[in-house]
Amino acid sequence: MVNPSPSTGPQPVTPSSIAVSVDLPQARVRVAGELDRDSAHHLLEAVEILATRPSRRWQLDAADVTFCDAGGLRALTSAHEIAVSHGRSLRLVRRSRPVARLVSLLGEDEVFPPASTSRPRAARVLCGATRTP
Amino acid sequence: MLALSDTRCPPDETPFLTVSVQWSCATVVLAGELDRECAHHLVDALAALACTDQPCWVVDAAAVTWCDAGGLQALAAAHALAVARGRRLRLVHASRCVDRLVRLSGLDQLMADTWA
Repeated sequence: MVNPSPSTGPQPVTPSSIAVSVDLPQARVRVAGELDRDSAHHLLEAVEILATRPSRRWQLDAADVTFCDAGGLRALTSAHEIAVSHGRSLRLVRRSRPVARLVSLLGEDEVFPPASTSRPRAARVLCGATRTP
Repeated sequence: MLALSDTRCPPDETPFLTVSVQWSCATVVLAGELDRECAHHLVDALAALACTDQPCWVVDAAAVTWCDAGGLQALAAAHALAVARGRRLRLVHASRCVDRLVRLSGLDQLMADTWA
């Protein structure tokens, strides 16, 4: 089951589900549950909402992600790309072990590249996602 | 009153979203499903209101039966448009699904702050 509705605070997450919450005043998106290819679009839709705020720095809280695969990692990169395309920055402020492991395997700068080199590095990430880490 | 409906719906079916603009009171009345497919009509309607000199815009969401992330984005974009044009935006009679998302996301705070 996929729950597209934003939620507040930690909530029990059933298997194969994702919960995405948007905090507009803080320009922060929080994702919990399973972040994979099927659920990734919920994260990206939430991140798009932040573009309506004037805040320059967006935050992504992935502390309660229980599962993350290559599709989820790509979603993190895409979320960063969305921020860059709107002239903003996105920072991963909290991360669970599954997310931390994948991000460290690929390299922090590859998933959330510095602003000046974001486009070529992001392209490399997309190519690398097809390989086994 | 101007009524905009999503034209992709077959004529024998209820439109996903109906957007009615009441010029005299600068009110946009929403009815139906405010989702990512149709929500842009809300912003379009408010952009039309921006052509008037009304200082305060009202969005009536009493008859909204469904609201997803796209709907929330449209409401947030509506608020941003109002701020950018120096107007005030008030969301009234929000149905339960709209009220829930607006509260959870903090958009209600942002709207209240612009009234302060």
